[in-house]
Amino acid sequence: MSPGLSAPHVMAFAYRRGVGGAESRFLSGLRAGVIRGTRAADGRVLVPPLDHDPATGAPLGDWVTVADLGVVRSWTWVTEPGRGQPLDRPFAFALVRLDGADTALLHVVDVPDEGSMATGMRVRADWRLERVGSITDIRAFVPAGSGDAATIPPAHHDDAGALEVHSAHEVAYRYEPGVVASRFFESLRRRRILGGRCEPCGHTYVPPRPRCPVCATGPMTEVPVPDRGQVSTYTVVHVPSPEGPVDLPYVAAWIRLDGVDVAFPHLLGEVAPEAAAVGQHVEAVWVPDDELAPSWESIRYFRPSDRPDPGTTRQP
Amino acid sequence: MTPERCAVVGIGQTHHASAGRDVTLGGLVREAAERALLDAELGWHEIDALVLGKGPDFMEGVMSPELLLAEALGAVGKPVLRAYTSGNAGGVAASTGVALIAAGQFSRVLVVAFEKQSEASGPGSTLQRLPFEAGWQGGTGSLFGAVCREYIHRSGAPPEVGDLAALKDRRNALLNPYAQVRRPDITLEEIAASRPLWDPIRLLHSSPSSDGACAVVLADEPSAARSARPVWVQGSAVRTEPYLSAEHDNVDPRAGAECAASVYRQAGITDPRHELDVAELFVPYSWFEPMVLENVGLADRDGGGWRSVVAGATAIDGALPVNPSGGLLGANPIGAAGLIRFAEAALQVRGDAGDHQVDGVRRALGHAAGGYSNCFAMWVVGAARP
Amino acid sequence: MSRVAVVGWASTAALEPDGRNEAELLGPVVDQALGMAGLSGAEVDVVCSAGSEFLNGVVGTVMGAFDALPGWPPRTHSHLEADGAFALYEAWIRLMAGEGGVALACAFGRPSAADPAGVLALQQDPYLVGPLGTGPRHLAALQARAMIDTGRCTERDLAEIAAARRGLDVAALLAMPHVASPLRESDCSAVCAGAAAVVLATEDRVPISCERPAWIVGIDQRMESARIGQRDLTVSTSTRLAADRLGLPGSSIDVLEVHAPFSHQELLVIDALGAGRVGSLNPSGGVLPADPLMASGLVRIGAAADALLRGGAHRAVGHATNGACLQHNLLCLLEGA
Repeated sequence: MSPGLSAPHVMAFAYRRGVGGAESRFLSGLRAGVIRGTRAADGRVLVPPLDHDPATGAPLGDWVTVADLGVVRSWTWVTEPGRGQPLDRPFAFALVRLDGADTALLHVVDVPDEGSMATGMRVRADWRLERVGSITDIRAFVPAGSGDAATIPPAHHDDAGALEVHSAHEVAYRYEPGVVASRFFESLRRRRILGGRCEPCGHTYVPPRPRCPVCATGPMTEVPVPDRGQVSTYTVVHVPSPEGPVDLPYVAAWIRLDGVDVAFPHLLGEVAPEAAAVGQHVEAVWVPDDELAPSWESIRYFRPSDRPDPGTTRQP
Repeated sequence: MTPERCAVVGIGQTHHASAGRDVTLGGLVREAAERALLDAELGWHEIDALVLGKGPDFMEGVMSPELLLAEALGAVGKPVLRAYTSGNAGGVAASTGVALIAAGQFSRVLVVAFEKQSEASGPGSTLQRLPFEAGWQGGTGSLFGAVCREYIHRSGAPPEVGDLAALKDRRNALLNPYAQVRRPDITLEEIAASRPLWDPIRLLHSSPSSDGACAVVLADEPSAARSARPVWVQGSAVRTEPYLSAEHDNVDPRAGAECAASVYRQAGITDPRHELDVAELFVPYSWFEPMVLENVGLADRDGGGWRSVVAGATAIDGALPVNPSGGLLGANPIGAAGLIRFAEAALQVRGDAGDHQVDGVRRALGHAAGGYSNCFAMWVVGAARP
Repeated sequence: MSRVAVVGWASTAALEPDGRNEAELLGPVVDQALGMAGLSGAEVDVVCSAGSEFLNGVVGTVMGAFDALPGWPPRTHSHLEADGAFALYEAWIRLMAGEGGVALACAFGRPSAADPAGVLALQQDPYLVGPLGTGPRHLAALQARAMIDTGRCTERDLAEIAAARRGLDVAALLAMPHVASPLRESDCSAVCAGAAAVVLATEDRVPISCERPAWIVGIDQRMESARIGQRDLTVSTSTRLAADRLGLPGSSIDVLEVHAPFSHQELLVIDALGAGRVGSLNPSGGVLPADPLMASGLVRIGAAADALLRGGAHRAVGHATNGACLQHNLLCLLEGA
């Protein structure tokens, strides 16, 4: 049983990638139904092509169209296809050295079973009818029949219009804030704020840290701290946050609770933005029982407290 | 044990843009690297080692991109290091390059830093909401706004300081062909009236989001002898402190002050305000200029920074010009921005800054910052060999 | 240049998630390493850390590790998104560059995705490989098959390596199904969370209490192309290049620690080193039974140094790798006095 909290945390990100140079020429070639490579300084034909020689760094501009069939140089069987893979039934990843090329292209081979794969087998590209300028314009490689002759198709004058490669990833993580942080969040669920005091330094931290960032000793002594304090600084936020749901503008304040030596960020509420002030005394406003959770959101916001603000000065 | 001397012998950068559509990550990097090699009059085979500086891998969605960039960097068969601390990554990359030379291991090192951040979409690539944290998360922008507010509170800076500093950097950017944002018609009034973001930070106080790359070639003394105008690294340092610490001061972080003190000491500088001729400082929001000036000892603390800005001391024709290149307000490809500062400082020493050249520069400061005002990298470069 | 030695190290691997965050994993390891070295955090001038945001799922994950690192007063700190062995390389360089006398190289990883090894797929070319969804196991399998095809090894040879590292029975392993033919689950490392720390000191800063510092004779690291179709997958060219630079071929090595996340890669590294004699191979058990991603290479160097620090060995090599199919390799050569 883990002594800490954990929660699922999904990172979803997408990229629209511009392409240029050799990648662009290669992908536009695929869109036109041809496979192109570049000749390296040592005479080898590189597929996929490169802009610059891997050994000398010299620019490569000698383009060669290679055949769309060739030999499997190595392969592995994928028994359970995953998301983001081109086929939804078992298939092989393979390195295919196309006729006319001296390097191998990584792609997939579509055969009914693992027994149909062998290093040295000849395969040919199975092209999609609708092509967009992607490595997947070749749906897969398939076994080349005896009737499949190695022909190099004529070079096409293809439209070298701007291409994009799209990537999209969604990774599901298990987020763990840590053992000490978990105790802090659990205390928030009970409307308590847990601080950590570093005995050697004499400083109190909210949230408590597993070790003192100043003297590296730990663990800190757990101490309860009041839910009142002062604004050490603040900003008025006019930019929406993707996770919302806060009306704009709002005040984000750094709150230093009484007896605590560091500040943490939270919302300032029940105060007009122009009335926020450095040094302002504030108190926590907790959510109702049914909304309490091990989270900073157990505190709805901080509001100015009834205590007067002696000695608080506001800059004009 | 004496560290080897290190000189900058080549500098290159891309024309930074809001989006570099028709180029791959490798293409972007290669463009800057080739310019630097051409500038150095060196061939790829003459580079012994590579350092790549870059911001968070999430920005491009490629983990350990130095692996992908092996050919683009000319790195096949060579040692490679990646620098990523935070926003100071470009500066740390330069510092790592200097260390590779100073350690006597290599004669010529290529340092490249880049970011191609226009291609990402989705909250995961920028603002991240973690479980158990609050949902409203203002992100780094709101923290920076609050830090600027704290500076204003402490120093009594009047509201126009952020506007003046922004106007100065934006006017300078007009003189820099590599800058992305160039507004010939910009006025102080427009800046002051621009959309508020995280008070006191407004839109025109802020750096843009940029795609771009920068490269420098570093050389040891024998290799530098082949260069017509080597720019000597007279001091180089990296300093970091924990940011969630009772000792951490966002406005005047000790790590920044000590980083500056270290490079001044290495360079034999006792009076930086007079012994430095120009400074390229990491200013992502114009309000940071007065803070950084004070933090690195170029202005008196508690207000000397804003008074310098108001007096025009940091203008391109001022007593100590700051960001003649236009700084981050001109272009901010995150991982590269620190290296661009370092490179611009070197360009000034060499007299190659074109329209944004400051007269008679013998010594310049490059400064990079990152994290939550807790990570710093700096160098002092000069015409004199140390 | 001043000589630099490894004077202490420690590591931890957490095979099951236990609630600890980066700092909680790394902190005790840093303490142990410093304790072994007889040094305090205050004496550390340079900190080079390594981790991975993508693996941990947290942008700026290094910020969370600060609690565990000697951080105040401020000092030199750099971070990289790769294995800690490369952080150690940088730390060694910085000490030789005169940036200090004591360095801490450390690494932490909390691969917390459902398929952490799959996250490594994000190292692949996003233009031409990403759309195919090829993962690190598939790429490693292509390399393993190439070795089998050329007669360098058989599946039984791989099972013997896996059995030796994991303390299991060869026949039982061979009876298991492939996960990516010709590789079985047992041929692939068990990815887990963990942390490692190695303390370096220049000659004048080695504490009196350290009786047998492990002197770094040299570290060399080299990169190959990411395009596996362009490489001869049966030869680890970059390891051979690094080995040549360190004078290893034909030499005698008492302890060799190889960072081989797949069983066949152990053979590739050993072939490339071309050592005349290897006394003990992977006495730590190697990476197969527990692979704290981003720390494993650093652990190899620590484990290689361990043999010298405790006495009983004179010459040790630690190997580390990054990238699919051994794209980027590092060798650290250590000797006793």
